[in-house]
Amino acid sequence: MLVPERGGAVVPVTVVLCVNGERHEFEIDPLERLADVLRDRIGLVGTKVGCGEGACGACAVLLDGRAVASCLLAVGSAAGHRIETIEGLSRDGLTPLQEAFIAADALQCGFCTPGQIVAATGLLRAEPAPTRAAVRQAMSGNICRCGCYPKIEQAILSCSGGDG
Amino acid sequence: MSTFCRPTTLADALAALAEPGSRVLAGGTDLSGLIDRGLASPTTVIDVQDAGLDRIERCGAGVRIGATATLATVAVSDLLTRWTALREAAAAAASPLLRNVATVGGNLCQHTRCWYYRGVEWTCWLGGGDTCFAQIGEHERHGLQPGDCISAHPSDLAPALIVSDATVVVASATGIREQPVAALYRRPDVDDRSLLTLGPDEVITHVVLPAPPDASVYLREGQREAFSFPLVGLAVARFGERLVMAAAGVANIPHLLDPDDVLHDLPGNPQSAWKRTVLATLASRGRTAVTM
Repeated sequence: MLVPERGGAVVPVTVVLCVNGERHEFEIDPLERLADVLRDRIGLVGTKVGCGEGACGACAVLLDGRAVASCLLAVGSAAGHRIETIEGLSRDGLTPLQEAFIAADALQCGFCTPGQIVAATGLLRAEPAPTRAAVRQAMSGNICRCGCYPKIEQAILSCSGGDG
Repeated sequence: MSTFCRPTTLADALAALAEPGSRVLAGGTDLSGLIDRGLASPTTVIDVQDAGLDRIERCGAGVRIGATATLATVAVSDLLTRWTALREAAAAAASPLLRNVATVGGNLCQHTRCWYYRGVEWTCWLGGGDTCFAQIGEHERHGLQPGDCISAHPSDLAPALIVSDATVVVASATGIREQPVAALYRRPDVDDRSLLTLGPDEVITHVVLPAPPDASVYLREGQREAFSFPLVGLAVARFGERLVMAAAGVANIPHLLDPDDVLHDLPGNPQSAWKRTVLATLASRGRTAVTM
């Protein structure tokens, strides 16, 4: 592969993560990607790794409420922050936003959908009634190769004014 | 094996940075890719997010921006409403996911996106080799200025700060200095391939904006509107009758333009000549935008 796997090159340190309200402690290379730690160590595989360089948004998680690319975030940098993944958002069942995605048929293959939901959740928490332009702007870091953009936009707008 | 630390004071960060081979990590959006590709192999990674450098505050007639303030913060800061070009540049960079962590200092210090420089299969001239592969290969998105390296400068913020007459505060364990943003950059030569004038033990701590221009604007063309680097990014500011223009994407460092002859010293070549047309067009639009 062109890009080598990260990890193993840095002296392990104790890293404590707060993920979906739960505490996780690791002896770990602090430069390992948060996305890999979530998936491989904690088993939260809803977070996807698409491009691995921040361009596609499939790996989006909320860091203190803001959507970020977990493939670019070193796990040592994520320590001390509140991390929410797609599993945490839907712990109590599907959220209104997820229901809206289903109702609008806003996905085909579904690979990008967790990242789309996470980014949209970040938007709706900060701005409960966004304009169409604001939705497009906020979602511009999330790529959908199936091309579901109009339905994604429709789903988010249908939740506008709700709690996301 | 390298080590990782997260100092909680600037003094501790500078002490760690004084150790040879150490490297500052801020948002990590550029450094992580450089490490992945072997373009950076720090012995110590110093995560400065806790070093207290993230504030944006008034400073005389201007504003002082901490180097770890995020692009998302800069783009909406009420203190920066009179620096239109800077806010527009911050809002245009990367994508929302990256702007939430990417920092002002990191944006200024990011490495070029030249695909030969970033590729793991080659060591190009800028990376220490003997050939600028772009000049014998694909370079339609590269710089227009001739030289040993024709990579394109990728920072949206740099031209916006340069036309705002901004300075950077640079610190090391041995002292602090302040210099114009433009002086952060140098044309590389055969003995020193660095594009930055920062010493290995130095870090940007703040960007200082003096009194705002009367008007300013940032215009850019990218491959797409989101997550694209500036193919041509042009900042224009007007102070009274004086126009200042600077561009990203047209040379391997931010390029100060002569407003009356914006294409001077930027001949390009058949593959990249289209950028000349774009630059001239943006300059015309920018001039109109700040003089209306």
